[in-house]
Amino acid sequence: MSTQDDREALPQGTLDLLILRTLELGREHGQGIARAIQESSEGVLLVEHGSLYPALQRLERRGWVAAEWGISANNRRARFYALTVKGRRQLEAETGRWQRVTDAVSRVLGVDPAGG
Amino acid sequence: MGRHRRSRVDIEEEVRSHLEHEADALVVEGMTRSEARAEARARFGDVSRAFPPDAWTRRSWVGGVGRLIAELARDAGLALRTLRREPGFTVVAILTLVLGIGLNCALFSFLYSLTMRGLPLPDADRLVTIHQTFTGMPLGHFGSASMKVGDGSRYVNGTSDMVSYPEYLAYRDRARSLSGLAGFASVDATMAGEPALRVSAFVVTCSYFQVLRAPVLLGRGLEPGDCGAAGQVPVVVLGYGLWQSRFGGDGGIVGRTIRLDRTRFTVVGVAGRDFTGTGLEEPDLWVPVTMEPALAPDRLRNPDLSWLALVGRLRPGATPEGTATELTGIGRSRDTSYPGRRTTVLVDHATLAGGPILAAQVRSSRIGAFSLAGLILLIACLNVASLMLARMPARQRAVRIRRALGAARHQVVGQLLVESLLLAFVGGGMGLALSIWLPGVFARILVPGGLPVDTAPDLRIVGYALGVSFIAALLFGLMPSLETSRIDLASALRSDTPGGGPGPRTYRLRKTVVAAQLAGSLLLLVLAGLFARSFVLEQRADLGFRIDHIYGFRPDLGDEGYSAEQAAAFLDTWKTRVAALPGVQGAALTSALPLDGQSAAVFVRDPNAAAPDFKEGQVFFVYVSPGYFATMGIPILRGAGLPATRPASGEPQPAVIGETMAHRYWPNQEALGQVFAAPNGEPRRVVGIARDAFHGGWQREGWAFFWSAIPPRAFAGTLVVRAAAHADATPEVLAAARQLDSNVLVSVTSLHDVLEERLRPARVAALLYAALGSLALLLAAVGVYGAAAYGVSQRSHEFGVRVALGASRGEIRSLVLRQGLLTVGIGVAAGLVAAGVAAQLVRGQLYGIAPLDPLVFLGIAGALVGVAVAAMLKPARRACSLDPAETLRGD
Repeated sequence: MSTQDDREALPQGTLDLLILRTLELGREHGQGIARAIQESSEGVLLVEHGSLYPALQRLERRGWVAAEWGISANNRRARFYALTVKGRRQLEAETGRWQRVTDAVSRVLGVDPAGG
Repeated sequence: MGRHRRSRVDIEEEVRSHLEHEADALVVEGMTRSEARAEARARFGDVSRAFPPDAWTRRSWVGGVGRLIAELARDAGLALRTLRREPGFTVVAILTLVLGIGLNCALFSFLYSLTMRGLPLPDADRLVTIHQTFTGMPLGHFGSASMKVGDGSRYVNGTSDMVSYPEYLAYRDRARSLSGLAGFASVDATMAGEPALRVSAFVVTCSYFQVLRAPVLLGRGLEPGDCGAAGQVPVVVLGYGLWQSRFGGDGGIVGRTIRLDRTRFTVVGVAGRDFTGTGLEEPDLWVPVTMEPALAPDRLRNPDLSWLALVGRLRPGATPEGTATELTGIGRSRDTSYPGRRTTVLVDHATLAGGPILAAQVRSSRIGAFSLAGLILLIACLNVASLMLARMPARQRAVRIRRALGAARHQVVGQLLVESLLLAFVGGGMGLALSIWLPGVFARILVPGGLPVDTAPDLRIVGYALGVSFIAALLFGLMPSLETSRIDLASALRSDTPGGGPGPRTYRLRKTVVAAQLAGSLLLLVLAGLFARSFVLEQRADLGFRIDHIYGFRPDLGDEGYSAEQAAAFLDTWKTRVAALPGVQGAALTSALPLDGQSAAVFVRDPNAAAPDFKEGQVFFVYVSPGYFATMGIPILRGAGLPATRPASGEPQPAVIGETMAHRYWPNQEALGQVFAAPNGEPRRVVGIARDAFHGGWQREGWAFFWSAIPPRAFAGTLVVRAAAHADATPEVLAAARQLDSNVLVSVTSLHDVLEERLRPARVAALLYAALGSLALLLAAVGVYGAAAYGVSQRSHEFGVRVALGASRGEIRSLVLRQGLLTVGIGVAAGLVAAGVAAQLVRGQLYGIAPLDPLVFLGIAGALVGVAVAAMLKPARRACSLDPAETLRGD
């Protein structure tokens, strides 16, 4: 059974930047983004894939990402998210802050990201 | 904001896409497809957190209507796709609803066209029918028999609410609120020609065509000038049907003459095709009321004979109520010459079946008809509800996603209800089509030849269909929708485990619906059984006279102007000649054939008693010639049959009485030789006692009857003939009549046909109930099967444990059956109670069996239990063959 602890979400903003960074490499659909983030954080940062979507919605609303339906590599329909110009600017501006947040997260989790 | 508002469907699709991609990845990592699906779902987590409801489901009520419509359209689209994916369910559900809704609409349309719909004539909403009732004087009403009532101050012909010709004239001349008033009556007439034809002639006042604004195809309608002095203007307007069938639509018919009875009439016009009169009886032709003496006994001058029906046209601004008040005043002014009488005039919008007596008959039959139709609608709805509950587990997976996506429960219920409404409206639409066709069938069941009912759907009929469909949708859709939407959100989307599926509550609900279905089908089948058995018994019943090879021949001597003496002479000669024919075993005269409801009724008493004693009730009688008993095979028990010779003048007429009458009037003494009489009637002497013969058919309780010799100056107008088996004597009998008078028209009926006609309602009822009951039973069996199968799947774990602990297959099977039988038992018990009540309501229509006939009740209940058990066998077998290892692991 799921409990409140299981579902703990990332601090707001952190996940936003993780997503933007993932999309820097190219357009991706929700599950792809989730997998990417999960793998890059060894399954720690994204406990539930579902918690990715509020962030995606938020980014979309701010105009940092744009979404459109397309066909994935698995030959399935998927909603692809891509970085907008505005989003790219935001990513650049926030990279410094991102580093600070990463450090903070590492401290909280008790691991050294540089060592990972 | 609006740009980012995403549709629910769009979000659902994104979630599905995500889950599939994740599952694809997990399969690559080595999971099986189903494991991967479950894992993908687990990894996704709570969908309601991924897409918080307030992000996209909150609606402002500004522009809410447009959004509501869009939402409805989307729900309808979704429902359509869902229904298309399950054609089996959809087809069965719709067919069930077509039947349930169609029957209700057809019944409504039938009664509506009879009692509410205006006549198909110009400005029909200004047309009114006018009826007259009296209080303060004894009045009776005896079917179609004319009889003198009470003190003899009023004669009643047919219905007591019609008027005499002088009364018509008074109303016509004095009513200010009517722009016109017409009276009409139908009489049978014989139209000369080869062959002669029996026609329904309407004698009408000459305002008839103007008041009704009846369409005329050729020539003209009747005009005021046609109603001159009695018998002076023999003109006729032909009906379209008769003009076509008899004259081949001859355009030159106007100006030619036709002979009706003994009078030549000049054709002045042909009525329009769509004009079929104003009532249930369709006129073949119309003649001026002043020609009435040429076709029927002269009734024009009698101020106290009710025979004309009235239809009037309201002046602009006049209302039926105001006109009723005015006409009542006119009627009351005539009451002064009738002490104690008080006239009340009723004015109603003109419909096909108008008048207080017909309206009362329709009202009383309406309750029964609508209860039956309502019951069938209810059973249909139960069946569809049961089908919907059966597919609930499948539906709940989809509902869980939607609920998890944040759709509020009422939105899910709304979407499921839209699906129900869609089903109901498709069923209702097809039911509406059924209602165009079915009322004609009802009419033909009620009246041979049908009735001129107009069943074209109009706003009210469509409105009724919509209303019934809507109610049906709520009946069958609301409960399953509420139940389907009732899911455990905590476990939503986690997996497909039973914990997220329908719970014990749903299962209980489903069993309740199945029990109700069984009860409903049992009720219908018991009624079918009762009617079928009653029908068979009645068909085989010994009515006390022969049925086979008995024919009745009735010549229209009255129409041909024969006096009673001439008619008696004609009949006597004819009878003698027919009796000598080779294919004829017996011939006799009677005033009425058995079973045709034409026997006269009288109150009789001992003529020596001081005052008439009415408490004994009525006695029915017919006039017969002496050979009648031999021809009909009615045995004389004591005394003799009727003598061949007439008694001396002043002597009582001889009569043979039935056993019932003998027991009733002379319980402890010899009835032979006794004298009895009707009030003011001739005395009769009992010369013989015959075994009871049930001339009235099955209404035999307290059936006192006597056969009277034909008195002088009277005649018995029907010749009954017993033909030898395999011999058709009809042509010879008719030829014998033609030899005597070639103008006489003879109508022929076989007693067999008369009996069939009488039994038809019982047969139709039995067939109808059997068809509906079988359908309901079939669907109930599906319900029983579904509930049992579901029960087994729910308890497979438990059964596995039991088997593992050493329970035998027989024990498992009886466990399953026992549980199912409880449901069946409750349904059957409820059905038996309902059937018992219903049987009491129809007891008057049953012959030969008690309403609670044990054979029918127990037989049907047994058959129903058998069908239910058969439906449970397969699930029970599956429970027995469960592999304990498998079921335990599967949990």
